[in-house]
Amino acid sequence: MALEPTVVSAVLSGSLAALASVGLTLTYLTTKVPNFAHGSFLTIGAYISVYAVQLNRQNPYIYAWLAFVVAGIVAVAQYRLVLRPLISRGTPIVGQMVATVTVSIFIFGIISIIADWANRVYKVQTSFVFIRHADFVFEEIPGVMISSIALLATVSLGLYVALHKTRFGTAMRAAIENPSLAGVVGINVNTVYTLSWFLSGGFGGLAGLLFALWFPVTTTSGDEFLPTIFASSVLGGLGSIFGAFAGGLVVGVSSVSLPFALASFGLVEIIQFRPIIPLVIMVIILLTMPEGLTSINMRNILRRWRRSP
Amino acid sequence: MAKIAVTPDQLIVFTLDLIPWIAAFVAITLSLNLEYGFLGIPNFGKVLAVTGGAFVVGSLPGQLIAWLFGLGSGLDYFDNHAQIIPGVNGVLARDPLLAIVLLLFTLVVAALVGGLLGFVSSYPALRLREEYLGMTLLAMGEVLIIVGNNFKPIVGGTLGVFVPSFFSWVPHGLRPYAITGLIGAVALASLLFVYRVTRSPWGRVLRAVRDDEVLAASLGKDVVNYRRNVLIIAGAIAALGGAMLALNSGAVNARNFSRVNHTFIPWVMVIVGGAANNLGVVIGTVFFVVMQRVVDVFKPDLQPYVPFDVVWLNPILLSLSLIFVMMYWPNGIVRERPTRTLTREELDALIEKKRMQKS
Repeated sequence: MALEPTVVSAVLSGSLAALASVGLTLTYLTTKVPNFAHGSFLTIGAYISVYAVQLNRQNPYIYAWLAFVVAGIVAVAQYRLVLRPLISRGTPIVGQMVATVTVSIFIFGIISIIADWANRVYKVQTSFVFIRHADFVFEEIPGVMISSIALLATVSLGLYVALHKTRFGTAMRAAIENPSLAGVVGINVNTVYTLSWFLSGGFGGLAGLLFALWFPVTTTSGDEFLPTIFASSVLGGLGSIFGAFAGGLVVGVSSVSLPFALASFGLVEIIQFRPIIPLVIMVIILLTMPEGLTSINMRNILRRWRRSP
Repeated sequence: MAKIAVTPDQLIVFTLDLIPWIAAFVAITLSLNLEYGFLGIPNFGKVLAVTGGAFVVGSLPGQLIAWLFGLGSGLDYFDNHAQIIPGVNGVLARDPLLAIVLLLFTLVVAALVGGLLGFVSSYPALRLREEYLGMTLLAMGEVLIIVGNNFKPIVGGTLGVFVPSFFSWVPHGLRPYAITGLIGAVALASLLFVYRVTRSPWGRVLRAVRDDEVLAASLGKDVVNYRRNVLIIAGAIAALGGAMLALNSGAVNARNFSRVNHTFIPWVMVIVGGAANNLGVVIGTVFFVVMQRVVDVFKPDLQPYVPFDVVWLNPILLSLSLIFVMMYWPNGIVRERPTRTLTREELDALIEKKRMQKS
């Protein structure tokens, strides 16, 4: 059974948005600043995938650890070298937001230089690259779809266990909840925050690695995906890790499938406007229910539903 | 290293090329300074008003003249603008008065559209806290670019559209000077306007609202009104900046507008120059525009020494300088000045004058 490419795109965009927005939420919880450089972590992962295929002619999956580590280190560098010094100097939140944008511009410059250099020295295409052919196919299902769902399941389960069943997870939640009190009881808040940033970058890098196996890669791919990641986090309440999972799936899937659904009713032009969907979702959520999905009180709804005959 | 020789002619061409860029960006950064520096609104959607102004220049004057003079009637303007625009230019070349009136009319409409977009952004700006507001405005700016890029009746969709030449009646050699002069004049006017406005009592209230909203409200200042008015005024000025960019390049294409170039680079200029200080913001703008143009102009001389395209040095220099300034110079190159208060002698003189009037 062959899958429709649209279905693959929708599922992939949903799971990658979930993965990336979990990372975004992890950093938002620690430093309370929306990280506009989060898309760059995806671009880093995507280019590791591209170079694995273009330069080494190898399967990108072999380099998953490299994408995780490199993007993680870049994220830690962003936190330790830029954000933490700024926060300790008392830079207001708007200044910190601009600083994260600047980090993304910096990473963009570095990625562009490397891409340009690789293009000149090795004579390989490094912008608008399609490496779908390097992926494995299982029973006519593209491998990237299987691996992205598997990765998402692993990450969500792993995070749940790590955060709720281990000592370190308890320490992490404590450090997020109340940094000074956590410091008093002997938790090293700095280590915990650094690890959150490392995980955040790492998830972004992995999402980018898989992104490259289905979508075209260019130096701005991550930044173009950024509105989807932000909309997912915002829908998830911007402070809830598992809300971000749900938000990512909803926004990612709907940003691909909604235009195609509308197009099937004869509005073909609507497909061009696809990038608007996550933006519109984000604006509506922020204006009407800024707490996102977390503001929905399931217990209340259930009680009301039971009470009504 | 090869010696880089610059002749006086080249220097003149370089400066002439620089002025419109500086002028347009000065308008954009001053409007951002009004919003962020003086009132503390984190407008991460500056590109919204800028794009709005540019779209007006790309869309309105050409279609208006084509419609008035029946040029290319029956044809779609944006599909055939390459054939229609020369006719429009011919009409404008024969009638300088019409060209000037049309130009002024276009600028006024651009400012109005910018004000309208500012009014639209005031809806979230009155309701959300800083980081949520920043994200919302950013999203709104992106939406306008995407719509402009895909919806043909605005500025021709992905293909873009040419801007009619308003100065085709000027002798050929003088045309660049005319355009540069006009753009410079508009920028200068907005500079003077922002200077006066921020030094007025109204401007002092803005800083009071920024520093302590509750205090300002307790003294009877309508915070909501100040926010809305500033967004409208700043939107109009930024739209003029966008209109200048469009007039300078002679074409409008939605793809050329981006959150990096027209939102964040102005942000870098404002923060590096010094928020809430107009002089500092102008200095920051000039610094970054010159830096970018220098990299562009000396690209052929630098290119042999590096194995990649030199333009990629721009984002790296830009971001490093911003982080450096934020860490070691958090108030920017020129810091905010405290409001000038009257000296004891001046106050006494004023009181004396009042008393004399009474008696």
